[in-house]
Amino acid sequence: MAEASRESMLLACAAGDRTALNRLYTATASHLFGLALSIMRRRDLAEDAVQETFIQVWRHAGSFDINRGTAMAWMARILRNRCFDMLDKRRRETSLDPEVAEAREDPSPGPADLVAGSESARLLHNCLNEIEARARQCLNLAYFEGLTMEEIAQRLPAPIGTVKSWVRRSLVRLKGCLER
Amino acid sequence: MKYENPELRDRLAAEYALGTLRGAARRRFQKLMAGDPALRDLTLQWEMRLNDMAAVVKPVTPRPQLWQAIDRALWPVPRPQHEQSGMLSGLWESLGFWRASTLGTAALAAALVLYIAVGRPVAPETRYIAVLIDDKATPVLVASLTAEDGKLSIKSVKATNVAADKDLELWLVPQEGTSVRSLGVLKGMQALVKLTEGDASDLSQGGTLAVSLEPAGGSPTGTATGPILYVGPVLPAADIQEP
Repeated sequence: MAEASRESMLLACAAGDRTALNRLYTATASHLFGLALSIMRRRDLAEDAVQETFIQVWRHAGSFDINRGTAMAWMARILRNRCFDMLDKRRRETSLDPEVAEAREDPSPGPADLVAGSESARLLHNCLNEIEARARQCLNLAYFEGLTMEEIAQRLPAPIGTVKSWVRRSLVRLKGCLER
Repeated sequence: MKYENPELRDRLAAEYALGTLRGAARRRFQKLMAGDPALRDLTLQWEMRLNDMAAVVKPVTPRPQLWQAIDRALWPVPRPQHEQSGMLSGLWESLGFWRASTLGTAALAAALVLYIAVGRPVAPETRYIAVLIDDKATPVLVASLTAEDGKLSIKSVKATNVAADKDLELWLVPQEGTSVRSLGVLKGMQALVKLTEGDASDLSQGGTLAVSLEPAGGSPTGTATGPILYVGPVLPAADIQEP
């Protein structure tokens, strides 16, 4: 599925085309569900998050600005914010769904996984690859699993101060790389 | 105010977008953004940047019921998404009425589980199953789709009295309510319906089966003309077989 078509589906949603939401769901639900599952760690919670996301997507499709990024990024943003709202409301689950554990075996995706990616996603991926491996791992743990600085420090393990400075420095580098 | 420091603003916006700003810190930052459009814009920039990471996430297929839940939440009364012929809309509308009545989808599913629980066997190779019930929630027909032959097997579990000049016709109603189609006229206590790939896929993705009363030989128009007698949602058999 070409990236451009997801943007057009989102624009069609903004115009009130219900079938476009279904097409958008077909094109993106498994990616969003994979992301939700790795953050929420439970199928039912991940389903709730994805459901809420698509409701928001339908209601706010009109605020999507094609000049500011991809449809996938816009939807992932809604999904992750929803996940964080949910996590902040409840204690983090520690038990892992077997499927989640499997999905986590390979935490850093390679370029081959960029099939669905856009030009901006490829650029981001290249910039991430310029970051030192341990710092990149921190970014991956934060993004894909929704871990806080403290949780990343425990997971690695590494001192919290070190994790913070890795994350902050790599975000600055990332920005520099993306703006080159 | 220290939040005027551009480096700090940028750092907080980036951490918010990455997701490491959480709990009270996250709420505090959201309050700041609410009164600071420039900060909101900066944060959105970071969010749109970092969320391109989602392009490499490992996809996991959600249950087909997830779309149904979204659809129901957004549009509580199912209706066709395209204007179709009057008859087709008629079928859909009466199905919508069925669903919205006391026999909601949950009741239909509960009837199915109950049916299985009273000891009716489900063959292990069955992938999808639907129990079609009448307006008193009594199971009348059971439809099952097995992995191997792609054929839908229909068995009657309750005698159906149909006048000599009438026939029962089976319809597949895809989740979105578009392209409702006939799967044929039902004769006798058993039937085997050969499905196309499109039928099988619509069936497995939250489809519903419905039976209407038609003139002998089936609907002359290719769309349902008579009342809907039996309805049942198609569910993955695995969901039922688990204790």
